[in-house]
Amino acid sequence: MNADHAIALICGIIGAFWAATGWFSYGIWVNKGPGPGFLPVIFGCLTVILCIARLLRKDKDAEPVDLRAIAPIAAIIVCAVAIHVIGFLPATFLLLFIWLVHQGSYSYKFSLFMAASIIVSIWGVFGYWLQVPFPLGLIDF
Amino acid sequence: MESILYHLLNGFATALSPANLFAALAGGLMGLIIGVLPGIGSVMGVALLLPITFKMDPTTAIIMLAALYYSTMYAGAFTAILINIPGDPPALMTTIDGYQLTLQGKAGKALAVSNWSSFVAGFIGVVILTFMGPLLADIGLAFGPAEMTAVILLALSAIAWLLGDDPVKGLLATCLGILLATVGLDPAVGQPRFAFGILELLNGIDFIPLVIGMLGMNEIIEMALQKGGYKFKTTEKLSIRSNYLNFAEMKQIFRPTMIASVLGTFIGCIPGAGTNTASFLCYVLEKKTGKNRANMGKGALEGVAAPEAANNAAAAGAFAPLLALGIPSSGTVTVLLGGLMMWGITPGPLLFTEHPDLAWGLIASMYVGNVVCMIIAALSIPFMIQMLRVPPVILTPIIIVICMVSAFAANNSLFDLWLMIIFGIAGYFFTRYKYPIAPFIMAFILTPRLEMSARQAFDISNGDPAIFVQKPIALAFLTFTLILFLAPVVLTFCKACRTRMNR
Repeated sequence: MNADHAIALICGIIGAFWAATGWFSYGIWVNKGPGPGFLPVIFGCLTVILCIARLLRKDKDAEPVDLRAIAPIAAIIVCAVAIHVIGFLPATFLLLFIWLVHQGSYSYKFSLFMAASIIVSIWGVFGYWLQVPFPLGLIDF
Repeated sequence: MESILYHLLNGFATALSPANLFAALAGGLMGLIIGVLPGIGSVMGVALLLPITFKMDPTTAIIMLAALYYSTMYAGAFTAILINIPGDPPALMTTIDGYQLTLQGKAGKALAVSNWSSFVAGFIGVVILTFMGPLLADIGLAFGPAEMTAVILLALSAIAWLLGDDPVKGLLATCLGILLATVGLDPAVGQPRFAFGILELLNGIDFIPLVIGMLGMNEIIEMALQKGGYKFKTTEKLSIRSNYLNFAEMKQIFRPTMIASVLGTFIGCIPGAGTNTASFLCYVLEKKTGKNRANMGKGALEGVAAPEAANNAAAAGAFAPLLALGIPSSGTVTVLLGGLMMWGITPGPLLFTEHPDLAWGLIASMYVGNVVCMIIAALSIPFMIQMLRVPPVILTPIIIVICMVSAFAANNSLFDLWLMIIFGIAGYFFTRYKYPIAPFIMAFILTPRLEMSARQAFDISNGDPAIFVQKPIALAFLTFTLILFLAPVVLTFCKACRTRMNR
């Protein structure tokens, strides 16, 4: 099974789950009108049919997943976890700093300056002007 | 007619006073910054500015807020064109051709087209509002739930034109968008659906983290993968003159701009339809009927002109029901209505007689604000293009942080941040395996409105589906939708018959 088929399979499972839950738990026609399950059942079933059509076809152009994509995704996930612990601005500052040092091979001094400038600008626009309450994290940093 | 012109001239006298002109300039500048930031739309911008304007003269305050609203419509396209992240929901359609133009080294042209079409459409929209305001309001009121259901069905069926090379993948993406839109409380009976016990999901999935993830994070991953040699071609000069549109280009965008201006104004005055539906329908119309339709989606100037013109015209049209009837037709206009009531002014038929200074001052300020916004936006183009000259290795983490902040700031929720990450991963797979993202997002936007309108229509008719054919407007839209569905089938059949007969 290639990745293209795996996507079709995942979409099919989602469609089947939506259709089944809509049918059995929510109801299609309630109080003389479309019920909460109306759209999930119709489009869940359609999704399953389309996924079967995709599974039966072989896509010649299907490209393998580029494993290098894991690095930026992992960096964002680690940063999101860090936000819960040390707060939004320190976590994003670290992301910027580490990215510039490791990916850009910039000096510590330049990276520190760039990261600090960007974070101060973001705090100025979002935190100070737009009053966005940035989370401070578990350690209230 | 003469009385309208007389009042309008008086309105210009109000709007062009130094204080009001400064207010329009300040509102325009703030709108530009707010519009550029993904996740901070015009609703939030107007809501944030409202407390500041409390001590101002009501006319000056409403001029400032209207300029901000207008300016966000201009600026939403900037990030859509430059980094493939729409600054606001109506700019979603602009990403399709706008970003392609950036990749071809024509970011300046794309921004100039966006500005010019926004300006022309804004002007036409305000002219229509000036002379046909009450009529527009009546048209808006004629759209009840049955008519709205028919309009949204037409828009949903129009998604079929965006399906791309593989219709199965396009349809699958559309279905997934619809399924995802059903997460949260059911609009009719209030039953939680697919929330899996997660409190944040009861309100449904927010548009901002979804679109930032699907488009923005996906772009970040691509940029990170092409470290050292990203695909931007930044040969453009840092001058306004180099981004002028020549006669041929003006001619090219004339037709879509004009059509979208008129259509957008009328769609804008329909309560609930708003700028999203306007920009989407006008883009699809151009893709289907435009002279350059073969290049739509591949970097056509018309693909930028049509949605941008539509959303600015719709922004002007949205004022008609507010001023003439006191009925807000969009989220931002609802906040503006709140502002008017805060100053003790009740919009409606009496507004033009009780507060002519405010009503005509506001309309005149929309002309002035449109010019101010166009100048500010045009002057900012060379500086915006400079963003593409920043080395990708510096630009990528900056965009990551802005995406994260915007996803969080939409609802001040870390849950939305995680949603953005999940949709970012999904968006990467969508792009990698050629599943079109635009139908997915459009289906997600349109579905809640469809569900709500359909349910209201059935409630009104006591469960009788005949309501959709008894109302002439709804019947007309449904017939049009049916024709659009059947036309390709009939045409294919006729073609096959002709081929057989020729043999």
